[in-house]
Amino acid sequence: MITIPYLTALSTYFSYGLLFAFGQFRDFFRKIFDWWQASNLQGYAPICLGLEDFYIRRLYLRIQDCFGRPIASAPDAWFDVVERYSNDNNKTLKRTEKISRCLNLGSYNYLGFAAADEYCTPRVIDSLNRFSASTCSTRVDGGTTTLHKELEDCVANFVGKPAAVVFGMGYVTNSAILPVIIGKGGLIISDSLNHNSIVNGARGSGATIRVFQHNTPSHLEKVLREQIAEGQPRTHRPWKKIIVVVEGIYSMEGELCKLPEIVTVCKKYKAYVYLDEAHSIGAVGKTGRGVCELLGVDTADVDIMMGTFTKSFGSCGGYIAGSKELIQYLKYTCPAHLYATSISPPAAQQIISSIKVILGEDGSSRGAQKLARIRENSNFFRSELQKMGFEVLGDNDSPVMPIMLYNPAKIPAFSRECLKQNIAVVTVAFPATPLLLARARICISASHTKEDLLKALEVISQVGDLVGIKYFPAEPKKQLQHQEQQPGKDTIKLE
Amino acid sequence: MSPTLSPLQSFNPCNYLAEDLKKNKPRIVMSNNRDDDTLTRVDNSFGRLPDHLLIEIFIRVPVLEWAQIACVKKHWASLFLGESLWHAAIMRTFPSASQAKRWPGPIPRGLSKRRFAALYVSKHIVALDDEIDEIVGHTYLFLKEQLELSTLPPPSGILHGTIIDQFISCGKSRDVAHELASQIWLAVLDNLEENWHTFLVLKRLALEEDVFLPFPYSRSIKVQWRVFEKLFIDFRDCFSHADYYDILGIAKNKFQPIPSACQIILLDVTTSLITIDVQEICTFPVSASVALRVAMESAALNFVNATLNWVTLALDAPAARAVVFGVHISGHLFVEVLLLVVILFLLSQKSYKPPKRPLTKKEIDELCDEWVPESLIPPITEEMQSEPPVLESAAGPHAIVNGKEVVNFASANYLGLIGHEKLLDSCTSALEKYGVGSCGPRQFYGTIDVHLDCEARIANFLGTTDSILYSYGLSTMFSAIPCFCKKGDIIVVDEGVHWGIQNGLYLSRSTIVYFKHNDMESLEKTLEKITAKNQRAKKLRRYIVVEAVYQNSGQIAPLDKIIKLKEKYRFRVLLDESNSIGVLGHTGRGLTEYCRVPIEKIDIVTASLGHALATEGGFCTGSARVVDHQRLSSSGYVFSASLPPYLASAAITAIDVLEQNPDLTSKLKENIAILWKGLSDVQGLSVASNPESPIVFLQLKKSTGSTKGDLQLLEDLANRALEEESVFVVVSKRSTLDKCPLPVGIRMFVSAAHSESDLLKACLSLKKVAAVVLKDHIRP
Repeated sequence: MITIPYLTALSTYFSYGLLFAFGQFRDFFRKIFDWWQASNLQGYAPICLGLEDFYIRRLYLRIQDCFGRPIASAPDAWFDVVERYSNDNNKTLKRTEKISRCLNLGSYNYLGFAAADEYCTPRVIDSLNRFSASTCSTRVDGGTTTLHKELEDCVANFVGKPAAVVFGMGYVTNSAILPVIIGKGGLIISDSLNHNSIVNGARGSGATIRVFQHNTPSHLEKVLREQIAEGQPRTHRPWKKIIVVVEGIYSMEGELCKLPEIVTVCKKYKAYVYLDEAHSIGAVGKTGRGVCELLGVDTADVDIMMGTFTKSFGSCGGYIAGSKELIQYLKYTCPAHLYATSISPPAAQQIISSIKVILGEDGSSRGAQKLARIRENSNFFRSELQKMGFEVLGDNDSPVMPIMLYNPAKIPAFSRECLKQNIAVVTVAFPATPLLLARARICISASHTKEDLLKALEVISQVGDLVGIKYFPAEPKKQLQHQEQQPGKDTIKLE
Repeated sequence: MSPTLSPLQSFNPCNYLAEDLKKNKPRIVMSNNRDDDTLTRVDNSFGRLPDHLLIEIFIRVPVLEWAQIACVKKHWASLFLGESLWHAAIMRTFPSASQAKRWPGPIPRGLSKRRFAALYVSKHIVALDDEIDEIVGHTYLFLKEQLELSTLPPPSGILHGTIIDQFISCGKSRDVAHELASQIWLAVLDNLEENWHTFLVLKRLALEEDVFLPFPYSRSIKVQWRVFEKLFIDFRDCFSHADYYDILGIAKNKFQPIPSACQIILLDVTTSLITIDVQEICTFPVSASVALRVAMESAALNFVNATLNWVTLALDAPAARAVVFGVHISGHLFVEVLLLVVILFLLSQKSYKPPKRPLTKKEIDELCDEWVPESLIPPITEEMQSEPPVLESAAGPHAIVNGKEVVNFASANYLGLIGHEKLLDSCTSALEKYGVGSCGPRQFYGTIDVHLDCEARIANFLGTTDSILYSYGLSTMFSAIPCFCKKGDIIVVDEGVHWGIQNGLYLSRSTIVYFKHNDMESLEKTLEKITAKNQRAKKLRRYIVVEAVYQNSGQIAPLDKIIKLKEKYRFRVLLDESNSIGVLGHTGRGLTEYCRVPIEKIDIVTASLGHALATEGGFCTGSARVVDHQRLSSSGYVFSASLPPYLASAAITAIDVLEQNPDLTSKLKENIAILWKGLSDVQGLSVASNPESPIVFLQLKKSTGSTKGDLQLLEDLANRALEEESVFVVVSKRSTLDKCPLPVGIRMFVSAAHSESDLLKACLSLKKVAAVVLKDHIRP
């Protein structure tokens, strides 16, 4: 868990308090101003209301230039960020023709398949010409091409499950599958930091939702025992089924899921495991097969494996892998399969090709190199950041590493300063994280070279000093401790 | 009052009489006394006297004789009927009686005769010594009349009220009025004739429940008691047994505790009745026991009263003279303090809670061991195993399935843009430049310049200020709806909307009201009901959600009517244009163009790019505020990777192609008309879609009775069409999560790229196949 220094917590609260008070003050005058003008609502209730609207207008708009920066190239290791300007105090941003070439530390391009690839791109263009960009039809109607069949077999094989079904969007995969496999009378036990798509899917299912402390198997066990003993609320009937939903790598924390322990607990209490490998599939594991491979969990113990193709494979869409019956059932009744346009054929081809590269089926060792590269890059970068005294979250081997910023003012400061020096980083704040825990998130890619990383470290260190986010003392001792703590990592490196 | 009275007032009547006698001159005062003349001739000495003298004589005779005098002569009798005699009598007998003409209050004053009677009554019967009060007499007469004369007198409460009103309006104080009223009641009751009518009246009074009387009107117990007393003493022979016990019961209820004096009378009465009953005791065994019970109860009451008296005395005795701070400490104060202490004590006690015994570890272990979950999925049935046909080529108007070329009606490739060269070119260059995926959500470097260009292009095409791209068609609606509709908001929605909308509605947690599919009357009724029922509804956000072309039925929403209703009831409209963008209207700008409604009237428009525009993803457009709000609040936008750039660039090109080739939409229109016409007479099937909808929806004319049966039959038909006739049509399948109540059917997506021969072939084949497959279905 993140332990926020007392003084920092205080100053962060103070900053938000100030922003809030000032925002309210401005709203007060706006209200007076509006009062003089005739209302243009004409009997309708205002379309945007409450704190959400307030947050956007008074807090988000001030720093909106740090988010949604448009790019004008593929999101590779280096990319072209389009410069923007604002004439109205950041309320609206206008694009310019100017671009700046920046080092990309923000995209989920873990394996570097985002850019044109010597193996994938020609095949993708071939499929485009053969199957066109879209089928304009759902999978059950006319949207299943040979490519889709091949993709499903390929994914099932890659993930290590008997069958798989693919969808055109990762978000929809989660939010449309959960309602199919569980409904009223079921229980979903979800990690407290699960992605919004899981939250929405769970809500849409009508099942009861309970949350366990982030990545804490002991608390999961406690919740499971309580819930099984209690049964359904009010009626106390036994639960129909219990599904435990966890993610492979938590994208905002960079932490790896404690899958072995969680699987053991779930097995003991006969709960089904739903693993969302959005960030981990392709990125971790010896052959890129995700956290199961990395942590040595038999895929047979995970009932439903979900993942997306957006990240490591540089494409779009998502999959569900599981038993043959599960997939048959999903194909029969899942709305995303029945009602949504099937995944675009070129995107499907990109996935097939990239999996082939990862598995070395293209006849080269590029896949293995990429995998080794991302692990090395991640671990190097993480340890260097820690040495400098940044508060870095997450586990080793995870390509996602959040740097804690805390204070709201440090969010735009860090982002803008880095961009000035041609480093593009992602900053994340409320509502994606808790209010106090604003952070910058760095995603390492296999396409980053050593020089890129060194440059990035130099800049981040400099900006870190400027902004004041080196919350820990930078001491060489720390590095020693870390190496002692992680003997396993070193042996892997030696291999 | 007659004018003859005026001399009487001015002269002393005695002198006047003497003078008259001296003169001995007959004087005719009244004009209507011809009889009088004849009489005077008969009786010389007395008969000659004029009327006023006769009256003066008569009134000096004692009242009791008057009846006899009236019998002597007709003329004299007529005098007694006249006004002047009685007036003179009043003047003489009650000189202090008021002459005032005003008489307030509800009881009438009446003529002189009645007044005389009233005065007489108040003097002799009510016996008011100090003053002669006319009102009392009138009241007495009034009450007596009411009780005696009318067959069904008004309830005593009303009578009593009237009497008291009378007194109060004559200026008596309330207490005096009450006192007088009860005196009058008693007097009337005492003077009633002892006949059957009186008995009935008294019984009625006795049987009367206490009619509720407002505060000033309360009858004294004396009156009530007199009623019972009279009944039990004077009229006891008139009682039947049943009546007797009824009245006795009422008496007991009314007079608790029975005053001892009355008790004796009561006991007297009962014993006398018992003696009567003894002879009949075999027939009425109850009566005796009731009587005994009465006796015993009164004894018990005595005892209780005595005890209470003793307790009061005992409590009061020790502190009889104690005064603390000016407060007399008496027995009830002790009791009150005691009660207060007890209440405080009870309040201070903890409320009872059953002891909590949490489950022990062992018990939980057992429960966990015993718990058997359902399997993750229900057992796989045969229908779940069916696999859709696999295309070996692009899903254009002609596709290859199982190595055979088929005419494809399964892809919503309305404009035939699948495989369009320009689209392929733009995709290829985008793929080369940007790669396939965007590798990030829009906020985190997932915004590529083509996305912004595409958004601007769409907005420009539709005439809005801005638009927002979603990476998947299905997610557009179910992210956009929860973004604007929150808990408490009201959404009125067509029952036939597709699952994406249904899910969005569910996730929004708003109040959802469905109206009948594409039925504007039903919509209006629903809106009316909501607005009328709920005053608060005006302050909530209200939406109407409709699809332009319904995916589940091929119907087109009458937007002009919806706009009228929307403006009347102040609802916002969310319109899903997934199947109408690029199709409806001459330039393919969708339903707004088709219905000639300016797009600004629609608050939120969503659409999928995966139909006419032959790419993927979806967009939402509307005012700048609507779009900007989604950029941070719409979960499907914020939390999902952005649309692959090549698909966005394809969308831009598709719009360009559409704008450059206006004949595409007209060709599509022609094709729709051809197919519609060709399919209008298929055996067993009917076309349920709108003639201009690009989705031609064929429904079974006669359902098999279940959705599953219909589905099976249609599936069979579609499979045969594909296998035997190479026409690829599909059945509208339903997920178990889909709550759409509309019937299933065969859905054919018409494309501008279909040739006329394709369409005719499809019609022919379907007719052929339908004739075979539906043969058995139609015949019985």
